[in-house]
Amino acid sequence: MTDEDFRDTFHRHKAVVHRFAYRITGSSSIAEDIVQDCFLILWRKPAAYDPRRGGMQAFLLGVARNLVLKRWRKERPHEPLEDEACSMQPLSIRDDGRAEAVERAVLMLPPLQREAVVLAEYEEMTLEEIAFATNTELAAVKSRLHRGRQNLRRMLAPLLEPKGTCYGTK
Amino acid sequence: MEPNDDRQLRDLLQEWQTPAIPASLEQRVFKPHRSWGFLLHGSIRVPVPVLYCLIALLMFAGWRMSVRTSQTAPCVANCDHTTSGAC
Repeated sequence: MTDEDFRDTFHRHKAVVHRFAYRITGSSSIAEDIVQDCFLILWRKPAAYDPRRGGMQAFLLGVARNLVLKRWRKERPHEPLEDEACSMQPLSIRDDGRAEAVERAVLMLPPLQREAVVLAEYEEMTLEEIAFATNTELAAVKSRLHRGRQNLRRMLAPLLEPKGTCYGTK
Repeated sequence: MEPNDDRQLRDLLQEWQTPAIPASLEQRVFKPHRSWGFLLHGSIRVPVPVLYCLIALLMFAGWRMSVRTSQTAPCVANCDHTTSGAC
């Protein structure tokens, strides 16, 4: 990869990697560190990217995801990444507004549910793209996404209009 | 169960926006790699067996030094300054 190719790749994908890292970690400074490390890995080992396996964006998101999970395991070695039994309760909506409530809800999801929700809802990736980026079976991605959305509906129930469905508030 | 394409939930999720990317990020990624910085801030991973070998080597070197020093050290107690002039 030439210097020019690298710069082009950085400018094309930096925003999506930063958005993903920020939404997964909830921290600007950590997100910046993740973006920097992610592109340095690409610069040092460009052969790690195989275009036959998927696009550059999915590759970079996969690298960023691994960096985030590495950090998570280091900081919280005893907390599981995926908690299938995890069932969230409705958030108490404070005066901080709807956007902040959404942020709190997403960041409260177990990490693997959170990444599936972020990639599907915010980056509009298909299930196949998420499976490639996270190096996960398609069925597992579907399951995490389903549980993640369920948990979000429960937590954000006070902000969602009732549609004849119980969100766990009654 | 809710359908996966819950429009209401999606619209609500979109209300959370991320901050803009700081300009400093580009400088961080493209800053020239300074090898001298590694000497001050770098770290290396050393396998435990190699660490044991290094500790053993250091202990052996220390022991050798102490043996050599004791063999070559002058005997102060028997030193006769009046006849030899120096130890």
